[in-house]
Amino acid sequence: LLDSPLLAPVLAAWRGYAIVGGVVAGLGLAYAALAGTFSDTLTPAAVVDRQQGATVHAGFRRAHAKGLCVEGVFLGNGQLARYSTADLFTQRETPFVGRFSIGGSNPTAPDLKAGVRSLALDFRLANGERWRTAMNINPVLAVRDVDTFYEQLAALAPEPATGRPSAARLAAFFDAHPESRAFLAWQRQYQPTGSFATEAYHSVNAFLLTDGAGSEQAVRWAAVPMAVPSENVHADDDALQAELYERLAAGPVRFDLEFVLAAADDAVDDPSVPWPAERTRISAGTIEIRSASEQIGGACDVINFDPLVLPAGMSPSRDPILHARSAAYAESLRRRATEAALGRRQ
Amino acid sequence: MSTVRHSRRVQLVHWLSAALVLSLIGLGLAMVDSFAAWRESALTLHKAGGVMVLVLTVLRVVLQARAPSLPVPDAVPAMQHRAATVTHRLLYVLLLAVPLSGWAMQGAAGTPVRLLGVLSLPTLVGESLVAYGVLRTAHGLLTTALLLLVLAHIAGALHDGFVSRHGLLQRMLR
Repeated sequence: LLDSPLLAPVLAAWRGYAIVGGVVAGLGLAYAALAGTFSDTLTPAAVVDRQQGATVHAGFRRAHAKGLCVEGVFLGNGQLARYSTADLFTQRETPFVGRFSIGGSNPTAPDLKAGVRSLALDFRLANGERWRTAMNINPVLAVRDVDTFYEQLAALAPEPATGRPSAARLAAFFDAHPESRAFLAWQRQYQPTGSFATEAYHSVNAFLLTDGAGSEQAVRWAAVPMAVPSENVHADDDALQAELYERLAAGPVRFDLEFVLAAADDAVDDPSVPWPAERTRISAGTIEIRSASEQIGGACDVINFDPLVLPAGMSPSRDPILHARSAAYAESLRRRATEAALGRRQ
Repeated sequence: MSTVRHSRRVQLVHWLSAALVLSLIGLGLAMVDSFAAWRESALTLHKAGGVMVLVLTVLRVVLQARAPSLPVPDAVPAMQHRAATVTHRLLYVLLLAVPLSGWAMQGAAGTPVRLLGVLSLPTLVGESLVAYGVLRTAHGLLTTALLLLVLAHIAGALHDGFVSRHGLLQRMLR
């Protein structure tokens, strides 16, 4: 058999074939390793799997699935221009597309029962740059790293029997993670208002502003409402959305965009730690929301409010949660965009 | 064995592209589902590298059109020659399509590509969730096809160099 005309030349050339096979197999294995095939470190896909839960709402964001688009302008007052070279902080008008949303993965969840409300904005700077920020009503998080956030998602998963998270499991999670104290303290005192327009929305993570001389200042920011809280008279699941449409029909909704300057010892890279209340606050200008529209087909639908999309003059802190948000949001966008392209939005 | 070789220009463009493509596919696979601290730097490098591959490939097509291709030794079986020709043409198509799909999908997502933090590339496609879905999926699938073709190309070249020894690999090395 070994002398057969088929095998003999192969055997004579076995070293050549070993080189071909070895190099190609080696490269294949190297790429499989780079793709994470042999690794069990936490990935954005695993986090998004937990966020979307057992019922996938195809075509929708995996977190903050329910919301509506808004449009308006940011009226810079020039006061922040000495800290950052980003041109929206000079005295000018910068248009934005934004989105109000509630927490969770269900795009038809009842508005008034949501524990989290959010405001995300995508500013279109005059020089073509974008600044995207996704702000929450909670000023701090219960966690300071991605692995713990992944555990928190497991603790928050609804029990099949009740449809609600297990109180015992949540309590055990918070007990095991004392860094959640500031978040829990905020949660205890938080009183939901009747409108998206009357909540304060926080950057949660810290960022760095860079001035013309290149010196950096760590900041957090918040959109502080200018309207006073009122009752929501709508009883249906879309109460917050209905209220906002009505409010905008009467005139713009305004927020003061307020920056908080960190002092030397403040926790810049830890989103679970609040900064002292006496820190310097600077108003950068007014966020003026002029219109709203449904998210499907709306201008905000495509936008991935990746908090690392920053103009020159702003840069991210080293907060690991901030960087993880960017990676997880990209995975969420990939999933819903693929579903939308396949016409599977439901 | 033939003593002809590819010109230095052609060799330089080939090996530069090879190094870039092998690194960029690796970088892409490593960064796309990662929480690593280097993810954003990887994205920046990946975009800049992709633009370089696009420029190099256009340059390569121009060089190819201007210089006649080298004769294929008679000893090379016709089937092998045809397989090599098809592989090369598909490689060129993908070396254009993969970076173009990456560039276009950034426009669809509303995050235009900026090189070195200053030079903004024009957007190829307007903001659209459906367009992003199509382009993002295409970028992944086309890259998988490119990687498989690159592996086939490497296998063919090594087969020539170490098994059939028609001197074709030498033309790109000498």
